[in-house]
Amino acid sequence: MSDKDTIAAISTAHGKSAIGVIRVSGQNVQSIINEFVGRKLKPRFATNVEIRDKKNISIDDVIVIYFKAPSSYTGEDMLEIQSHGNPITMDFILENICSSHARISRPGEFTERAFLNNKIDLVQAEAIADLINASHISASKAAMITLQGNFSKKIESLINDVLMLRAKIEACINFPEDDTPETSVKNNSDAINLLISSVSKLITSVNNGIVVNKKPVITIVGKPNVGKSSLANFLLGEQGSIVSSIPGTTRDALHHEVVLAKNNITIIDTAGLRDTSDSIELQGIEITKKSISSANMVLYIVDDSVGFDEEDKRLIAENGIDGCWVINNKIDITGAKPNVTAKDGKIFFNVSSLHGLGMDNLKNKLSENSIPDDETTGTARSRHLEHLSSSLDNFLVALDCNNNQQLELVAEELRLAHVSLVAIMGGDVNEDLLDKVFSDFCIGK
Amino acid sequence: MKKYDVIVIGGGHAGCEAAHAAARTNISVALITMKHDSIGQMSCNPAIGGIGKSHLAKEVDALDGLICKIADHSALQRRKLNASKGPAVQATRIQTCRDTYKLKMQQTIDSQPNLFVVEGMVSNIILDNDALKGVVMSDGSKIFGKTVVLTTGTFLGGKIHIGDKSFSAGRLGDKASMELEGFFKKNDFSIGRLKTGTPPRILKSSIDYSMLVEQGSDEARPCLSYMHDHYGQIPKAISEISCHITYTNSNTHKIIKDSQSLSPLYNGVIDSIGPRYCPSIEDKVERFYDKDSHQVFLEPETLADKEIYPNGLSTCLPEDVQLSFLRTIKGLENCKITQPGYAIEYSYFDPRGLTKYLETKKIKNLFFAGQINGTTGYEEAAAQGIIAGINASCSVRNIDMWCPNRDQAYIGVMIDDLVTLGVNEPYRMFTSRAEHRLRLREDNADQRLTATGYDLGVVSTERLSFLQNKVEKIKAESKRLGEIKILPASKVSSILEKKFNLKLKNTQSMRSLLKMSDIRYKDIQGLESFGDTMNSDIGHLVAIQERYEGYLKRQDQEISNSLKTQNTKIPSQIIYNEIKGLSNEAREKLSEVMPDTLGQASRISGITPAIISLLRIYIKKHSL
Repeated sequence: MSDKDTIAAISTAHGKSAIGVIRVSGQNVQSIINEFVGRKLKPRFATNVEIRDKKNISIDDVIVIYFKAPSSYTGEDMLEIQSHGNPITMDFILENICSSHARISRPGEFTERAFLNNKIDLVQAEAIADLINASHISASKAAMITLQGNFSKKIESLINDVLMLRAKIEACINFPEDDTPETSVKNNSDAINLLISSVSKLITSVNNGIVVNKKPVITIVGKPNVGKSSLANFLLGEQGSIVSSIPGTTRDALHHEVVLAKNNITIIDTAGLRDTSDSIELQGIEITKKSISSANMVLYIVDDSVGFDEEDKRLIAENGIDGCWVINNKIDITGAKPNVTAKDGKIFFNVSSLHGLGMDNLKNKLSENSIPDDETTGTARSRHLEHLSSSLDNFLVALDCNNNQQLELVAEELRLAHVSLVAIMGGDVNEDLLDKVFSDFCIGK
Repeated sequence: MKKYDVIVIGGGHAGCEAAHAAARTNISVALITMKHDSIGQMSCNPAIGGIGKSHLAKEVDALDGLICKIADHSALQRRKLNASKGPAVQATRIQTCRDTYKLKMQQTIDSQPNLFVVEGMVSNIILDNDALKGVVMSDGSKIFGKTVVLTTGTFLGGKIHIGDKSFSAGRLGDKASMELEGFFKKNDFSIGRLKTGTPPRILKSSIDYSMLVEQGSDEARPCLSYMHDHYGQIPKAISEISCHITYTNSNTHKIIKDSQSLSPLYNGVIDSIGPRYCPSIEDKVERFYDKDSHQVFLEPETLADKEIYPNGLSTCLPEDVQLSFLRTIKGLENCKITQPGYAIEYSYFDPRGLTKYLETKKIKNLFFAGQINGTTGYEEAAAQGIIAGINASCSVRNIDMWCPNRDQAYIGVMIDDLVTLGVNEPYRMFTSRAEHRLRLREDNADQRLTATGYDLGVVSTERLSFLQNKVEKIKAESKRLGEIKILPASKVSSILEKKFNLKLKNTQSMRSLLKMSDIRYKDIQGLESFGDTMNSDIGHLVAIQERYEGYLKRQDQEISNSLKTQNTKIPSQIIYNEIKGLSNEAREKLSEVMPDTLGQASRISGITPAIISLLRIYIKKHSL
């Protein structure tokens, strides 16, 4: 990645508006115009064109504006593409542009270039610092939030597999005389093929958009009668679902759209979880499980007068929702103070949904975790794709080198793949590697 | 009143390189050592080289240093490691006679013009108004110098532990240096404690070799120094002695486990950290308890071949326990110990207190090199030594100091790691530490560094011409092979197809065949159109160049892309506390290291790309 690269990004948040804007900045803007617009553009003129892909098939009817350096936001040549705000189309345009002439921008990079080219003249450096910091933080949050919980787990598992293979090969290279397991061509091949298949699967799922929720989905679960619907309704501000004290009132999962801190989120209110043989209840519980699997976040409600018990623990473990927030509801009965605490890696809220106690804490925390309203979301997915594809290329070359028994080149390709994957989640490549080599292998004469 | 340009304190691997290098630049050097006879002594493993280590050693050699030449002249067994894994990770390892090594080092030091050995112990450093003036000896006498290079190894505050015995010592048989540490404590240097260990030595005649596997030298008898490896000089050989291999077993482990509480490593007496990659046998048995045997290499110590060094059995258990567990090992059932194994704790300085030229930030003209910077290994010490010696000399001659970058030498990787990250265990070089491993190979250290060494004054004209000759030969042979064309339908191409399953689609040069991993230089030598050449001795080097060309081009691209950010200088007057938007943690880390460039800053742990962006903007905005 260099300052000389041409950068591109989707500048509007996904699914929010009828029009979406893609910005491109850098020295390749002219080439991009030639390839995708197909004719010369007059600077600062809004022109209606049909933007085409590499095979010359029309993608969309858009409006393009060309800004000639230095008279642009960043001070470099820029191209602004206004298309229909359809995320699929926009992603497709972006991918086409980035396949040869540009790369996805880093968070805050457009603003950074603007500043470095003396286009922004802010009196306080802090304003820019805040912008950049916020962009970076929201970018990493976007990585977590725009994608379903599963994605980050799969990436982590993939990174771990790469690390294991690298550690084995590095141990073999750096300590050839110790009792490290010999790496055979076949073992390496098998391992690399597994990596190829994992990455390919991930790329497919990202491409299919299955993984991407444009709006965060919050599912409310818990045993019967703990106040799930009451909580959902409080967040809604109206009587959305039936609230009564007969367990099993909410048979189906009810989807509600809510706006929190100007962001759209979906709240799913579910049937209570419990052991039952009632067939209708069982159906409701099945639907609950489906709602959990599509959620970005799960709120697990507990009746504070009953307390968080073994059954709750079991239900959380069984449904694989260890990252849930636990809501101790009904503190109006127990007299507990409304607050937020963290314990054992979990967050606990003391609330009373009926009386509105402690609900502001919950609302605030929820809005902190919603999608940022800027370009970082749109580009998060493309960034991931870029890194994933890059690592796939590396694995394929590694396979080849392995077949030719060029172990040091296998090691190099795996290193590059590792760096690409870690860039998705953050982390330091070098220290992890050495730690793993020394903890797993008995090294050292 | 004695006055020198450079004073080197300590005649170990770092000290010898530092002193000799400075002397080669024609300035006066004093090498102060407690005992003349300890100069060049190997405290531990009587071997030079190995993965990562031979890379460092060869870089020292490329700067005309001593370590490789002397190793070659004292070689008992010579091998190439990773021979089947590719040139970038191959390494040469030489088992040496420690007596011959020491003798030859002393001869080299004694015969070098401008270099004077002074016997004695340094007890203090002389500062006058914060300017370095020289040193004070324990007998009260003073030696004045413009620059001082400290290379005291494990002697500063050295303390040896064997079982429940512990005593002050620099190594077994040598006094520790206790007073000098006082000067550094007084001046607020950041001092820590590290530990390392060594195995017992065994009387050779008490070992039964009948059932053990022998490991001799490689057929090719590789050499470490370029003089012997590529420039055609032949080292004076001494006799060869093989190594042998044996293993510990469950009986061995039982004794060690049962006596664990008697080991200072486990009963809390030592709490300083040792290297993970050179664990004691107590550590191995404890951490890898499901392994029922560990390899032991029985290595010859000297030509006289009286003592054996059992590599893999570092320990500080009591002597009687050492003997018991040794005697459970095959071949060692009746062995006798000549010197017990021990652990040694010593003081070291946080290397973040140094610039990349190894000059201390606190006191100008004071340089630190070797184990005192938290490294372990002779090669690591020698590499730092030569850099410190070169830079002390540069300071005296008023010319710019020098340190190679991470993409130029392993020495650069090591020094950058040390001064940017500090250490939390003794630092040893591995090839994994170098992201430019494919470029930093054993075969090309001279091509990377010798010319610079000449400019700095440490490499002679004669040596430079050896290098130039090698480069010319490689160029010539590469050009020649590039001009031999192979046509798709020719006889040669059908031979290639049969032998290597290679289908030629277009006309290719003979040189490009070398890009294929299974085609070696000797394979093309057999082809009909190969022709005549005087340069077949460096043919394999042409092949290596071809093999990595594509990768190196890509890396060059990466390097030049990030060069602007990497090289953006951070002004030395910068005050991190004044920069808004930085976390407290970032401020602390940056202030501690005071990186020169954004590149170096980015390598400090915890410094994220966002922080680098902020710094870049701050620097630009204030146009410092």
